[in-house]
Amino acid sequence: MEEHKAITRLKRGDIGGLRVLVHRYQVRAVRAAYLVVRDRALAEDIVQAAFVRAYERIDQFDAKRPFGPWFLRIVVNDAIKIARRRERTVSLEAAREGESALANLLADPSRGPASLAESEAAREAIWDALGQLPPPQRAAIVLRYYLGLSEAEMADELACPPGTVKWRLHAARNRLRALLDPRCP
Amino acid sequence: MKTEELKKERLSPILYEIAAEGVPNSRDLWPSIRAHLKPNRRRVRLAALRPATRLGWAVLALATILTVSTVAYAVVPVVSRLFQQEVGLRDVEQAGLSQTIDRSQTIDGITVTLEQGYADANRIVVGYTISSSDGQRYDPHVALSDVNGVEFPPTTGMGLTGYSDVMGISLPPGEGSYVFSFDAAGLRGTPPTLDLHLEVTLREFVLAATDTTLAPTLDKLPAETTDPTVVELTPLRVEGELVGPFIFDFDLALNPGHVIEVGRVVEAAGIPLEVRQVVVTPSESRALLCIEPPDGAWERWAAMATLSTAEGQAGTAWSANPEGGCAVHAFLPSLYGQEGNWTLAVEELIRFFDVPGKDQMRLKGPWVFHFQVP
Repeated sequence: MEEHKAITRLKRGDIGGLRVLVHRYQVRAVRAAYLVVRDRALAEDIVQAAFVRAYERIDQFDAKRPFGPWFLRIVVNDAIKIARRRERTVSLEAAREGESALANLLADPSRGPASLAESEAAREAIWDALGQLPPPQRAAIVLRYYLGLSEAEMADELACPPGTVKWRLHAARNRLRALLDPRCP
Repeated sequence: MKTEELKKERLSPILYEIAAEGVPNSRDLWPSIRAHLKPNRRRVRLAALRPATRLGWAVLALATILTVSTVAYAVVPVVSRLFQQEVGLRDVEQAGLSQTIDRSQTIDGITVTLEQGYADANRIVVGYTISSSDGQRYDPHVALSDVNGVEFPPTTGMGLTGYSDVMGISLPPGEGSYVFSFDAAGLRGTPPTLDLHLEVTLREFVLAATDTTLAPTLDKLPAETTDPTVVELTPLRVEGELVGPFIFDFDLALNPGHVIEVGRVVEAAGIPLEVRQVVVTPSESRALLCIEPPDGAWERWAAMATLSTAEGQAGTAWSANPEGGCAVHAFLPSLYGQEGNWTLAVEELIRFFDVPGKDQMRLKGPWVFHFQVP
């Protein structure tokens, strides 16, 4: 079924329309949330709640617009909020331990940056580095590099001024780069 | 990793790998999302029906008067009329005790509307309609539980599709009305309100594929078989797609009725029979009968019994054997509201054997019990 038909049905109160949208967007949405909150079960909870909210508020959705970006914006914004709340409780010791492990990994002279990017270690390094970004910066990386949004689209979806998005992305990239480069503490 | 390696073409594939590793694409969230959806009330755009001019209002008023006067009987909901097909529920309906719920849910073009319900200490009743946009018929399976997780087993049900001469109702294809009763004996206490959870799952009704040219019609009957003693019957096949569940969370006020702890034992035919408890509610009266026969526990048994007051009499509607050598007997009509002396007379006890070829055993009474109902 086409997306706009599913939305038309959903606006009429037909839950079958939501089922189509869930099956179309659930994996992408959970993965995006997972990259922000770093916990699969929590990511699934966020996406489930977002679908329920989308169902309850579908009347507010402009059917002329694509559903995906609207919905993924809800998911990413929720993920940012939850990650912020959650990470306030992470102990300082745990954070330091993570940084130290990353530094050791990246300090390995046998791994050049190019080969690192192709390997398991690269995934681990980027995963760890992402985890050390503040949630909004992490979400900026996810929106830009995982969901493939342009800076203008990000500004639109996050309801932020373009300058804020640009700055957030710039800061995220700098921080990520610093975390991934052992010569740049 | 250098600055240029943070470009999209380098970072994106790694993020995809990380995400795919952490979240397999086999997970389906739909069942749990579905369970969290609350049914919406029907979205009706009244504004679209509102006349824009004075003349429009006048025409609408006239049309309303004419319509109400001509179809008053037809608009009585079918569910409400189904309630009146059973003596216990007819009393409930006529006393104005059933409660309007009116919640709808649509899945794949099929709408289930939970129209009304009723609850007392003996049974919980729901009435709902099914309407499919394509005229396809669906058969319902219902499950009722409460907020404490207590599941209420279904006891009796009525449904109507198509045409009923007795009720004077003709439903279009794809529409059906149903009333189901559930045993409320598992209720914990008698709260003023029950928080209930109803799941209705529909199965598409499909007849076995047959040669339609052989189907009997009023103007064309099938040719007679050569051997009149042989009739080949093709069994109806009921299978098809499942749709749902349609989930309704709702509450019903509970009528606690009267619970009388009788606790009396009478012996006849060598069998001591106890009437342990009688529960009288508007929808039915129930007695819990228990025996301890000298030849060991009877697993399945029933009683031929009547319940009587100064004003009326009720017979057994159904019975069941819970554990512990007891039997539950439901009586209709309920006799609710009739105070004073009640008599429960058991004329006969019937023991059933789950052994092929072994007949039932019937013992003649009577066992007669008298008790007071406030």
